Amino acid sequence: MIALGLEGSANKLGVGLIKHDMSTTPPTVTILSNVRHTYHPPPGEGFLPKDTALHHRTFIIELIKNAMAEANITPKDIDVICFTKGPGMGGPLTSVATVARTLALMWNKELVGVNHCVGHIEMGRQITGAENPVVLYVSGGNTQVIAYADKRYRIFGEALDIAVGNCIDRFARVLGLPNDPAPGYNVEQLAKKGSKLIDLPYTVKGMDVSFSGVLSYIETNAPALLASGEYTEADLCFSLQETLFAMLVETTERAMAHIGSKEVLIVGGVGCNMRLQEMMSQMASQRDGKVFATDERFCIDNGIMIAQAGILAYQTGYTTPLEKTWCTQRFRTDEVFVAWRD
Amino acid sequence: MAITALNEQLTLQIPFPSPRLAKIAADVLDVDKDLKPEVSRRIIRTQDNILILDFQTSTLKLLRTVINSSLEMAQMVVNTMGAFDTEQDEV
Repeated sequence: MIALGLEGSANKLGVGLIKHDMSTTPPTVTILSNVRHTYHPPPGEGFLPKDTALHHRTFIIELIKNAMAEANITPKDIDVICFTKGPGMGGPLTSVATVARTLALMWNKELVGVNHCVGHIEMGRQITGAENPVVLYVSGGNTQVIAYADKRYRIFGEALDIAVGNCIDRFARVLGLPNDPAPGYNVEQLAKKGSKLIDLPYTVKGMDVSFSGVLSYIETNAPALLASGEYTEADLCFSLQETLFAMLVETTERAMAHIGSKEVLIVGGVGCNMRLQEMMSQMASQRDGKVFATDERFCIDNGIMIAQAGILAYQTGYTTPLEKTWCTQRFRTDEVFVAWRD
Repeated sequence: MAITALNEQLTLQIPFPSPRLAKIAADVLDVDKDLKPEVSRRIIRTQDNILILDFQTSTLKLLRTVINSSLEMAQMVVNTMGAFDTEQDEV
């Protein structure tokens, strides 16, 4: 069984083809192809929905052709077409969904609309083999601490305002760091050279976290701190990362204690940050636990994760009828009925 | 809410290579419903190989906006068909 996955909820456009060999139990999973094209706005700017949608419309045909060529398959081999239904930016989502619908009708295939967050979780589980982890989903648009229970991915805690990646990316804009390959990646590299820790607002409310206060604080004070000569840009990046990640580790640890799990799975674009993985590992090892993480191919938004989550749903008999293939900017992780897990 | 008259209107006719592809385009585009039907309405139908889009809006500005976005999506559909239609192979 082969699924095509199309992802375009933010500035990454991804196309993936995944194969599940159903003759074994559990099915043997093979990644046939996983290609991506990223929209990079100029330094100092974020990606706007209209420009991002145009980027996706410009590159999607070429990307699908590349994915099919790399996998060496024809449309006949594909069983199901999976696309991101939400959450994400409306224009980019709808542009990609339009292509998914057209392909499905032309090729006479079923469609499966996938929740982006569930895509991240299922890909992380598949790659790492984590059994029943507490999931920390951290990206430019989402920050959630998630645990599976009773056919749903339950949200234990989440960001009350902006996502952690958004906080980092917007600080990268203050410093004028490039958006290529990712603003967060450039902050991470710079942070390695920093050593002086500045006291920044630390906001954890129960299981929830808040990042807008720390962003305002560092945005407002950065020019003066740098001008004083006492702190470098690297020190600011270092301090920001340490503070933000400490908040995430604290809430994740509490979720682990609550459900009695010893596994943490980190997914989402910020999940490739090695410092976050390191801090999480320190916490987990103190609890005799283990951290599971993936590299940028599967952490950062990609098509294969949509194919993976879609094909799992499809195997339980789930399809999205054409008239229900509209996209939605708001689509919570716990709205999805996880029929494929016990 | 006050009823707004939908005074501005325009009809687009887009020819496709076959009635089948025109119908697919209509079905694909029709999934996305009008966000504010009280000020902007789009009716999609086909006649043989022609995709027909009827627009009715309350203001000229809105008319331009909704036609723009519909054309962007129609173009995406056409490009996808151009690149991936397998009808010829199958016939």
